[in-house]
Order: sequence, then C-alpha cells, then structure tokens
Amino acid sequence: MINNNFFINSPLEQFEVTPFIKFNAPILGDFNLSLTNLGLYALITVFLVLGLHIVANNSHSLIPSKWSIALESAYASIHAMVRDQIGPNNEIYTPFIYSLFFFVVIANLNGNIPYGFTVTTSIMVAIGLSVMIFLGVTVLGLSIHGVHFFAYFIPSGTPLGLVPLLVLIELISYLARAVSLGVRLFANMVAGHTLLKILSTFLAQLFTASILVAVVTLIPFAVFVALIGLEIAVSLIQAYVFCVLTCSYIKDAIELH
Amino acid sequence: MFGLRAWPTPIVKPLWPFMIGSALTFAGVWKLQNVALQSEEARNDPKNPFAKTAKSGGH
Repeated sequence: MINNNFFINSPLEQFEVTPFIKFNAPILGDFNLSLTNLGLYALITVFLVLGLHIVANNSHSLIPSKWSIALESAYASIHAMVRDQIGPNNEIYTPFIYSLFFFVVIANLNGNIPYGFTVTTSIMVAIGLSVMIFLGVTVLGLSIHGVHFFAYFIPSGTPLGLVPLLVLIELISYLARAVSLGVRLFANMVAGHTLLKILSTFLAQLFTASILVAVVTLIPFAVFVALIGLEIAVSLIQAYVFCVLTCSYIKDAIELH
Repeated sequence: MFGLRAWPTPIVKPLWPFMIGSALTFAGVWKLQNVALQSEEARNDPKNPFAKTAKSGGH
C-alpha cells in the first residue's frame, strides 16, 4: 500500500531556510558564511535574469528574435510605468525599477517550480527590499527638499488645531510603507504557496486511494491546475504592484504630494 | 555593442539614495541577526551555528 508510506510534512516547511554549505570562523567576532537554499535561489534568480538578457540580445540582427521582442515589450511597459508614475522628467529611475521588476518577477516565477524555494517568501528578502526602498526614498526626499521635506506630513489647508494629530497620522502612514510594501509581496507569495502545498498533499492522497476515487479526483485536480495559473498570475501582478508602488514613493519624495 | 560606452546610463546619480538605504538596511539586519543569535530562544537551538550546547562526543 502506497498510502502507508505517506509522510505529511507541514505546509510551511517549504519556507524554511536551511544551509547547504557552512563555514564558521572565529574572525570578526563569530563569522559564519553559509550557502543556504535562499542564497542559492537568489543566485539562480540573478543568473536567470542575466541569461534572459543574453538570450534576448539582438546581436545586430535585422530581424529581432522572439525573445528580443518580448524583452523590448517588457522594457516599453516598465518605461511607460515610470513615465506615468514618476513623470517624464525622471526617466533616470527606469534602470532601477527595471532591475527591481525583473528580480522580483523571475524570483516569483522560479518559485512556482515544485520542490523549489521562492526567494520572495523569505520575510528578510521582502522586508529588506522594502526597507531599502523606504530609506532610499526618504534620503532622496531629504536631499532634494531639505527641511521642507517635513511639509509632506502636513496636508495643505489643514487647520492649525488639527496639525499635531494629522502629523502623527501622516507619520505613521509614512512609516508603515517600509513594512507594507514587503509584507504585501511576502504574504501573497506565502499564502499562494501554502494553499498549493495543502491542496497537492490532499490530492496526492486521493489519487492513490483507489481507481474510482482517482478518477473522481480529476475534477478537483482541474481546479488545482487553475489555481496554479492563478499563482503564476499573482507572481506577475505582485512584481508589477511592487514596482508601481516604488515608483509612487519616488514620486512622492520628488514632488511632495 | 553593449555596456556603458554604448549607452551611458547614469548609475550613481539615481541610485545613491538607495545605496545609502541598502547600507543602512544591511547594517540593521547584521545587528538584528547578532542580537537574535544570542537571544534566550536561539542560544541553544541546534540550528544556531554558535550554539553553546556541548557537542556529543565519540562521533
């Protein structure tokens, strides 16, 4: 009986970071260098992004390849997003948003391969990225506007009596950006992957129960396949949302509302 | 063909605030990690590379 050999792991086990290679040395305090599954998949993501751009290189061809057309179309979309969100005078930020988009989208899509690891389901990666963007945007705003940057916390036309309260609310909502941007990406990816893991464990049990049950299970399996499609859509949408919000934060820092 | 000479895109000019941001984030994570490794909860965890638990002898 195959059923007896089933070993059900926690659906959250796929998010655990485990080291493959460890290196401990008593230098610089307690120095520890490990290649974890997170580090490996981050490297894979970087190589995939680089590989995609090498494959899609036009190489002076008169007729571009399909890869090249796809990449140029992606570039045009991101360029249009930056122009619409930050403004046509600030296209200087396009390379930043472009690399951010490709890192997040390839990490998300690569994570949909079964038995793999998704880099963006690590809270350290997602929150790290969003805190980096938040601090960068704050430094950018302070460097452009100096002390006037703090006018951002007082909406125009506020009565004097309401200023302390509104400053507090605006400050909290501004600080929440540091976390919300990362949590949005992290939570969506974790929720989707957990759901797929739970359903697939259940479906695997049903498929191996008996022939009749296995045939009937094809119906929920169709729903499961649709959910995989949804998860791929979520991967793309979350990368897009991450970049749109980054653009809008940069715009807020440049224009102050 | 490719590279900065063909397309002289600015790198430091748009990215310096984010470089400061990433340096600060890295420093923060570094400190947080060191504090967390020495916390009561993680001190004796076998996954902690600096766990002070006695190694089992013989093998």
